[in-house]
Amino acid sequence: MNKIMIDKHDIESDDFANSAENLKTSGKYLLGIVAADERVLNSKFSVRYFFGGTEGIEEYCVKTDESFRSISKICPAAKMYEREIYDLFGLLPEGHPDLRPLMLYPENWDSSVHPLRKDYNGVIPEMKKYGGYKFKEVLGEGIFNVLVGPVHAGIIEPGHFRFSLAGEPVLQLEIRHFWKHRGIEKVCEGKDFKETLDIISKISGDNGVNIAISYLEAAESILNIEITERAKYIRVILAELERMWNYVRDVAWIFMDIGFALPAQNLFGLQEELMRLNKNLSGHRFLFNSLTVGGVNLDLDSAKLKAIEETLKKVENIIKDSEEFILSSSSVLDRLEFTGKINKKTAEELSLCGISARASELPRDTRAEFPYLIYGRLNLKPYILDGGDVFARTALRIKEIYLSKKIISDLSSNLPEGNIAVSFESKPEAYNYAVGNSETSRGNAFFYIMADDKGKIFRLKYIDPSFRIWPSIQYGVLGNIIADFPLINKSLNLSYAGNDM
Amino acid sequence: MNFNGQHLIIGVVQFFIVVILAPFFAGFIHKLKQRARGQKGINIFQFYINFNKLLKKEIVLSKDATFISNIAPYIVFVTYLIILLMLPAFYRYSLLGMSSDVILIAYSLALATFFMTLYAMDQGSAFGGLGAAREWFLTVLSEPSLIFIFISLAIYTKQGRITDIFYFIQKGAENAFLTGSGSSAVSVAIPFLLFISLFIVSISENARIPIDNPETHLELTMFHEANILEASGKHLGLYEYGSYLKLTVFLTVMSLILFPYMAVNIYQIPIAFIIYVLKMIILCALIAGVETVNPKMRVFRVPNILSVSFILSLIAMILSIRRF
Repeated sequence: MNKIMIDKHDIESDDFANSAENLKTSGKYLLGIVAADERVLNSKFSVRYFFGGTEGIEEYCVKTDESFRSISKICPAAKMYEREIYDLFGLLPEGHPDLRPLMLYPENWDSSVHPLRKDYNGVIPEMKKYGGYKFKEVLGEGIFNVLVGPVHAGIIEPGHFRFSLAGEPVLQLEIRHFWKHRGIEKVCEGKDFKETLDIISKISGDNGVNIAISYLEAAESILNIEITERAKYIRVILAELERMWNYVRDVAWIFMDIGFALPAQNLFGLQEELMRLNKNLSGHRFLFNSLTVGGVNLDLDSAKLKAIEETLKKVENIIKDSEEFILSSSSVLDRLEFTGKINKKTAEELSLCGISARASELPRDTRAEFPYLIYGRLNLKPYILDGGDVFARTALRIKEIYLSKKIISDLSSNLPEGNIAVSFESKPEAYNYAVGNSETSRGNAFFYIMADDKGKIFRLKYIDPSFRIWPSIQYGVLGNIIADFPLINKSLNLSYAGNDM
Repeated sequence: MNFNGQHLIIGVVQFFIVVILAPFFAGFIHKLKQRARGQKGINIFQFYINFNKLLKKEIVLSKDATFISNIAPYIVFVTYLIILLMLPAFYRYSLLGMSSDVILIAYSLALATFFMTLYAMDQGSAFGGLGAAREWFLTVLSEPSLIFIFISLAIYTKQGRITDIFYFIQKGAENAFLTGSGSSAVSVAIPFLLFISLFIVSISENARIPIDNPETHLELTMFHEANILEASGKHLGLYEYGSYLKLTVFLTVMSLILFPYMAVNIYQIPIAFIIYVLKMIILCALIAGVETVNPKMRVFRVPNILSVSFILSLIAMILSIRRF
């Protein structure tokens, strides 16, 4: 079993804040911060910091009663996690530069109620104004603000974008998200592992399979289940199919946003083919419900494998055409190059992942860094580009479509025999925990799961790549004009639903 | 030109036909683009249906709106109607032919833009101000080309009214054809240069790709649409219809430069009308073609293409002056 290796350390908050600097200079980066109310165990809260690096994942656990030292000033990526913990647990990150509420809006939520504490009684505070939210201000002659959202003109999820402009150039962008917080982490507590799989698969529907794989990595590790080789292969094939249609759609929307509908329609047609293939394989266009704890719900017989092969041929042809459009059309290149540049330094400081990191020269691909399922045997090398701009992100997606295609055709031609699922009776050890990783089309999806003494979920924390990457858009737009913002936003293509659980 | 009952009646008929055809031309371009991309495409009369729907809808105005918001849609719409009254689409004696001075036409277009941008700012939304600033950014750059195009036509033909200008060109072409004398290089070059220059101005003024994208829902990238983002109901209907009229104005002037053929008597009207519609369809196809094979360009690249248009019209004007 290729369990993810974790290096665990228990540490005092003050000591940790001092050593964070060393961690960063040694090339490790923050994967996420997970807080948990463990007062039934040791009458303390725990704050776990997960760092990724070349030697696997390291964990630093800090126990606390009501506050801990903020590391945001050393490690800016921690900022959002610490605000989240302050909201949901009421633990104060001391020395945090920006403690405005993140998810629980003071406009309608009583900030003394912290829903992720175990003693929260489930009652939603009366709907009234408890406080306000102060946006950053930019002052000066001729400077004005353009406020976009949370309700948008298209069919887009809610997000508030506040631009401070001097004419067309953007001086500052401030985003405020989390308009439809669903409380998924709280909902999962007390559920068993199968019920939870159904919930987390719908966190962000277009990446359902890859998020579920991350969850299952953690869950199966707690439950001590070893799935069959065939199930692993099928999981990888489904994951890559999902990644492929996501990338096809992303590239199509890039063309759409530069007003170039001709190649976009071609790619939308291909996306439809891929989603019909999904439906053919699993009965659902988004591959919902195709994974289960202990294996997969669908088998790939020869007819299905043939359907996959035929669709892959079309993918190759159409993507080749689009590649030519991008590389040979100066008017397309003019729109994409140098637009929305995220510097390598910024990407490092914000611990970006996925396409956004790889386009900024950071070799971060969970499939290669912390291999899961059979990715370790594929010897993948992350593709990287150094532009950091819209072009780099688009070109990477096209390259990775070829990669996914190659993985799928290699695996489907040597699919091992065996059962697709194993039955399991095992009950997890009380208060045992595990983490899971996977690479979605947006980046690393991270799960932390702790079981309780009845074999149910005690604490589940999911960190979506979108949660890590959203702040970077505020840096990506600087130096650009506001008319290019939609294109920059589309090139990152982040999820609002995954960000706001 | 003496006043004549026949001119009056045909002038009115010509005006109504062109006004009624305007949404068809816009719909036709849209349909062509969609077919080129492999989509089924809209109903070619969809824009009439939309207009009818919008007329029935309620008007919602921002609480910051003043009386400007109530009058601007009408001023914009009526201005385009008045310009269409001046244009000799297929009959030489248009209803307002006597006062169809080219300078008047150019500045009537600017008047409509002025009131549309006032409306945009009057509603107090941030997009309105952004859209108004962008609209003037385009108009200021395309207006010199437009004026130069009209002035070089006027100098070339020594006429001031648009009806007389194109009648003069038509007569000249007829004479050259009948006498077999052929045309001089200059008399071919000037309309050619003006056509290309006016085509670029039309793309810019009518919010078309590669300068603006008429189909987008992205507020932040809009030029024209950002101005009317707050408009609703009848106001929106008038603006939309106004944009079809504006497109028709530009296409008609282009069609006259391309191939001036206007009926001078009642017997020539059927053939003149058929030629007019054919020319318009060719121009629609040309615009649809340009919109299909180009992406939208960066906002600050727009001056480059508009300066091409300006240079072309400037060369045409120098050539027309040389002709004296």
